[in-house]
Amino acid sequence: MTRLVLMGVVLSVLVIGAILALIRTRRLQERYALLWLAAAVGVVVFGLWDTGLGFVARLFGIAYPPSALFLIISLFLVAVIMHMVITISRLSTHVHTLAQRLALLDERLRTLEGEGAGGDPDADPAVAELLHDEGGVRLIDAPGRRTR
Amino acid sequence: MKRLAIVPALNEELALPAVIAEIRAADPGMDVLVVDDGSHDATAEVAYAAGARVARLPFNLGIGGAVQTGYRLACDEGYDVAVQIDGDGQHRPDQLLRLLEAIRAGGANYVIGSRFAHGSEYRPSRSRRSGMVILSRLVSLVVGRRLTDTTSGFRAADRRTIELFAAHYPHDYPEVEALVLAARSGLRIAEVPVTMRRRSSGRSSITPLRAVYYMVKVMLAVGVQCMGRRPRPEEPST
Repeated sequence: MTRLVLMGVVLSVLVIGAILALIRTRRLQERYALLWLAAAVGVVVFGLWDTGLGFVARLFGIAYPPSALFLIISLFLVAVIMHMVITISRLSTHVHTLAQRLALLDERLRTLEGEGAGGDPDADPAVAELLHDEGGVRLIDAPGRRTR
Repeated sequence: MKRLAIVPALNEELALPAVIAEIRAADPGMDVLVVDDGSHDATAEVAYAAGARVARLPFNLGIGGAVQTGYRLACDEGYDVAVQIDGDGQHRPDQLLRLLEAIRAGGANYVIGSRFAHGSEYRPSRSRRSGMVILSRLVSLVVGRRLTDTTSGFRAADRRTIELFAAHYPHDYPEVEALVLAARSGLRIAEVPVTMRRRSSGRSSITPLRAVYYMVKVMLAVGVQCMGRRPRPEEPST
């Protein structure tokens, strides 16, 4: 095994390890990691299989094997970018819908507060009693103190 | 017949009170919903003070997102008719009865207040006019009937149209696409002549570069819509 091959394999294994660590710490979702894992595995495979690139080049009728490498890398990057653009579109639709729902809920809340207690919780005597009655406060506080 | 006026507004604290008062005067039985599309001024407060219901979007969604917020509320609360009126005062609330009448007569699901239909007098600049004519031709071709003003935002929708738009409504510049969407969903579209005022405050959002983007984007959207399958109202929008 040449030094170059060894370096490639070690780098790929590091990349795979980093991706797995990101997934474990929940900073990266599995679905977004798959493409990168596939790429890292690809680098390991082509590193160990030294005639692999020549084989792929012949398969696609490419005379100069390093060109096949550039083709593969380009296709991979296009796939990653498409994946990201689709994800952004979906997220922006979700944000759009959420903003609209939030505005409508906000409107309803205001309408309900206006009907119920003029927007001020203290204006409802029962609510005011619950909020400010000292006995009530002690009752709520008590269990917390016991556990401490 | 439960009626809702959907008033999209962005930084319209100056024009809005008059618009709301005029809607009230034109049709006292109509509920008014102002959709505040992320304004930086007192648009929402002014609207509350004028007695309107107000849906405040947490950030700017653009006219399409604002209007759809109104259609969602109209759909959820069982409104029979929704009228879109801009918050800047360029649409004349005293003419909204014309739109309502066209729906009430039972002939149309979606009514457009047209600045060019017979009986209107509106002369935009030449470049603007040519853009509007191209879009009108294109949409008339797709819709299968002659429409004169496809960019007017002064519109009325019946229950079927409300349900469709609550589920599907185009973003950014929605007017033209909404027409094509409605037509392809089998809704009947009608135009009635209206006159519009010069906006009493604020300025047009259209710049030359945006106009080009607008034309290209709308044509792409219309083309894609013609290729796709017909949307149905019960589908969720995501």
